[in-house]
Amino acid sequence: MKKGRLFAPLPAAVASSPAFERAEEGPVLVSGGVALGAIDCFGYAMGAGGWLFLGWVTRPFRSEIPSALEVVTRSAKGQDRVQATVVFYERKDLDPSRVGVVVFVEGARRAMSGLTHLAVSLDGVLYGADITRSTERPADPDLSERVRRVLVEDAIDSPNRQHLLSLTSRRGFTGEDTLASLQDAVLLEIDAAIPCAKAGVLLKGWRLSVPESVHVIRLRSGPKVTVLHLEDAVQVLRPDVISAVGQARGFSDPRCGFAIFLGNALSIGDLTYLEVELKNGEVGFRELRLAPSVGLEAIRSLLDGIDHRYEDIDLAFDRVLGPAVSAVNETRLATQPTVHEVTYGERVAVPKISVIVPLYGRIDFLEYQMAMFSEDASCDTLDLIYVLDDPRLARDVRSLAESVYQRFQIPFRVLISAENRGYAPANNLGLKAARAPLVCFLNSDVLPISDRWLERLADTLKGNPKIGVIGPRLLFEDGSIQHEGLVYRSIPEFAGWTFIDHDNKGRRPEPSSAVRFVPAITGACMLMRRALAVELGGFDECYVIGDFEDSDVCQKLAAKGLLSAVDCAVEAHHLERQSQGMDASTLRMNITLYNAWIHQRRWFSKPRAVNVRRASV
Amino acid sequence: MARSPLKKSTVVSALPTSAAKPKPFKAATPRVLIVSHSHPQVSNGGAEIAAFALFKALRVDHEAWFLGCQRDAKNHKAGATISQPFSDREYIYSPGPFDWFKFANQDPKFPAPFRELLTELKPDVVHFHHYLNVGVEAFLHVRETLPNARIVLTLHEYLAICHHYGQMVTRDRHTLCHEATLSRCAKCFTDIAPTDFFLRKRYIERFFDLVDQFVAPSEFLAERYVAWGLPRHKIAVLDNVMGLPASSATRPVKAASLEGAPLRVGFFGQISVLKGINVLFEAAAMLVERKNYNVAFEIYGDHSGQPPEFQKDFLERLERACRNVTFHGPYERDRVDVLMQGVDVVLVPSVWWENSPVVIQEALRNQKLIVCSDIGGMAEKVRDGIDGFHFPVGNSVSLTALLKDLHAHPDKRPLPSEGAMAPVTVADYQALYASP
Repeated sequence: MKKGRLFAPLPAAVASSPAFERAEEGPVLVSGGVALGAIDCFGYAMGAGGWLFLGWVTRPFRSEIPSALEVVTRSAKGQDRVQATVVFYERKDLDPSRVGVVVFVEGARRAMSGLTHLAVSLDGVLYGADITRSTERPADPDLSERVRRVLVEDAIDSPNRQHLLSLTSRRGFTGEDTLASLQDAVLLEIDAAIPCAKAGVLLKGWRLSVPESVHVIRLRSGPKVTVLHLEDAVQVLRPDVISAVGQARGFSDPRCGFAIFLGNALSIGDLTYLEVELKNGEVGFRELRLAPSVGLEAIRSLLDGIDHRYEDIDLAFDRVLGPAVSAVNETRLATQPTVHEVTYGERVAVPKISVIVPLYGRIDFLEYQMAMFSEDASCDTLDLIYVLDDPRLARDVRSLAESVYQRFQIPFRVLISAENRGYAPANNLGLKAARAPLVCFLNSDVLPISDRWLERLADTLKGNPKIGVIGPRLLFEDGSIQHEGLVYRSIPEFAGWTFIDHDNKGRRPEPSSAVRFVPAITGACMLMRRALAVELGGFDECYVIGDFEDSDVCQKLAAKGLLSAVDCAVEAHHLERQSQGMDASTLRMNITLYNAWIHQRRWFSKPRAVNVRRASV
Repeated sequence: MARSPLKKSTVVSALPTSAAKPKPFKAATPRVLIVSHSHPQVSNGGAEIAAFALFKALRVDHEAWFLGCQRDAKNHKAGATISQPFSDREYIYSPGPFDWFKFANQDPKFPAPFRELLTELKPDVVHFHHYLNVGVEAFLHVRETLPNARIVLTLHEYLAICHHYGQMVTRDRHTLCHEATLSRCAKCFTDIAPTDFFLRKRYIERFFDLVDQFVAPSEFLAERYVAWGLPRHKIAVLDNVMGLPASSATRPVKAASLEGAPLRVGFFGQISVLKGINVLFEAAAMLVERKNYNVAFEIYGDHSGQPPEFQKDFLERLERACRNVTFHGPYERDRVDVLMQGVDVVLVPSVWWENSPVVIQEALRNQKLIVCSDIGGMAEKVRDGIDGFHFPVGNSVSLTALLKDLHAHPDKRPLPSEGAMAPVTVADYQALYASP
């Protein structure tokens, strides 16, 4: 290592010489069009994660070099300014007015190509160096090795020199996980990396590391670099990790799991990996394998295994799960599926009510329902539309529908969606196809009890222009009340969000022919004017699988001053299948929570201030 | 489109009253179509035999037709849904896909030809024996095609009530079931939800509502269906007509009067667990253990239609049995009277409720003493101490004691009570068709 004075004041003659050319960004040291500097070699250093340049420039006026400087790069495409780490060093082979330079620009490989010129900006002066065709372009590890030799042998010690020595000593990511080989081993496992729309990604995993050892964790994907702020991540309890690997290494805190959402972090098709940089400058890598899932499957993997309660839910959904699921869901619904329409029997010329029934899984409900419809004298005024939201059953539904038509002789249509999209989109497909002035959104497991039930609901609706939506009283198979209106209830366990309860559920119904006005009614059976349904856009598709969208419709109507009503004189059975109830799985629970979150933020309360941080972090 | 005008009072009131009433016909000569899930030429179950016997009896002085079904492909004529392989009065439907849970006929090729046949024959009465294969929707087809026709349904077994072959015995241990409830049915069928049993019932009821007249061959069966939900006033208790003329045979006077001759106990009919064949084996073994050789069991019947495990078990039990058990194999129905002459007692040890077992009617006709389980249709049709004796269902110890007693005390056997139970004739059905 050389010691001594490297920099001398710029002679006045130079400063005033014609070599100074005033340019927009300041004076550039050139001489008769020829730069007073040159890059001898440059290239991308995998290990360092950036571009390294080795060359010479005119000796600057001072010796204190800040840790980061701006450099100006020029290429055929234009000019760019980037942050760089610069070290000057003595070049005996050159005139004393010149000095050797090492420039490191952090970033991705693609960022710099076709360079013709590089200049270090210092005190408003650009110290330029040309890059020509003859400039060497060594590949790593040769490049890093050459730079290291210069730094070790010819550069005066400085923080920048130390930094570059550390960087150039790193091995680049070669597809091999190197976290374990770090001095302070970092245990970092990503259980799921789920791509979300618009290049976002949700990472679920865990980390165990010695406190204060990690400087930064970055996600690198092609040209994109994103820092993981784990302090903003959703914490996930992972006692399994502690018992499997943590305990043996002295870790005991089970809050080592995390879920984090990174927007615009992926460069699809490019190598994607995590880079952990320790405070001591060491760097380790972990490749990231992106889960191939999309659509509902991706939503399921996003939400699976996260189990939060109370106010943690707010943060989890506002910061991580909400945006991630929304992103996937938007992409999922961005394209319209192919829909095949099959008509059975002759179309009813002037239908009074379009009945829209989504089918998923159980198609035999079609058979039960049509058997009951066929009992009703008014069924030949209906425009019956079944929407199969389960392409696996396309063939089965065709043969069942044919047989049902032969048996009951009631005209109906079956719309077969090429994709499973969920409750709201399926209903909306039906709404598009509906022809009658009224539409009834109906679950397949609702079976009418009262005669002329739809006509009677329609009469009540038409008799009161203040009613926006109306439904019947629904009974369980044992005759107790399944639904006669929804009520809202805040649940402290779930961040105090508003959930939906069925009023009087499970009680014996009192004989009544009253029309009840309620905050909302169930989507299991909803009759409304078609024009109004179309105006609302049907059911909002941002709700996943089938929750809350009925209440959402009622809220939208309430905002227009329209009422939700239950006509207790009209009764139907609703079996409320187990699969639609809230079961114990955290996945199902989290899907409900996601829908509750949308519903909450839209109709009840805004997110809490961002500066409210969890105390435990 | 014609909708069922009969069920809903609101609809009926909107129509001319004449449309709601069955068209009057000459009481003696209604045109009758008998519909069965099978045909005696296809299988020989009690229900199809009863249905066909009624058809034969009606044919004497009625316009009558028989529509049966044949699921196997033996007589299948490709493309022909309803054909006539046997005679010009007998139709055979070759069924397609069928939902055995709710008795829905999912064959899209059935409704149109069936409706055409109805239009062609124009029966005043369509009398269904069973709805298997044709499906419960057949009632709707009749109602819509022939709004004035009378729909009669003879209930066989407890099919609508119980998904376990209509037998109302539990699946696992074959214990007796007294009432079908959603949760009890779901306990029997752990893979089926209670709500599905609810759906099943609503589906069946929707079409049962179209039936004008139910026929229950026993009071017991009628009560079970009333408990299930059928209106009592729609059910007539009337046994099936027998296919064969009443036997002239009389009960052999004191058959066991020969000193030392054993009591000959006959088992007739289908051999299965539910028919109580194992109760017979156990009683026989018990007698042998006590070195009692005064009772001899004669088994007449078929076991070949049973599940393989049962057949194996049956043959093993036969093998182990002593000389007091004789297996004679299957028999032709028209030989039953002759066979019954060879026994002193007809044993009906069924461990399920039964309805109105044909073998009991045959034994009564032959004036044979009957020993039967003390439940359901058996207990109803055999008057304890008059037509024979009851023993606690499934209880081989009691049966053994009873048979030993009957051997030891021939005087305890009741004398034939001739004419006590008048056999049901076609006239009873004519009266039923004519009743309002």
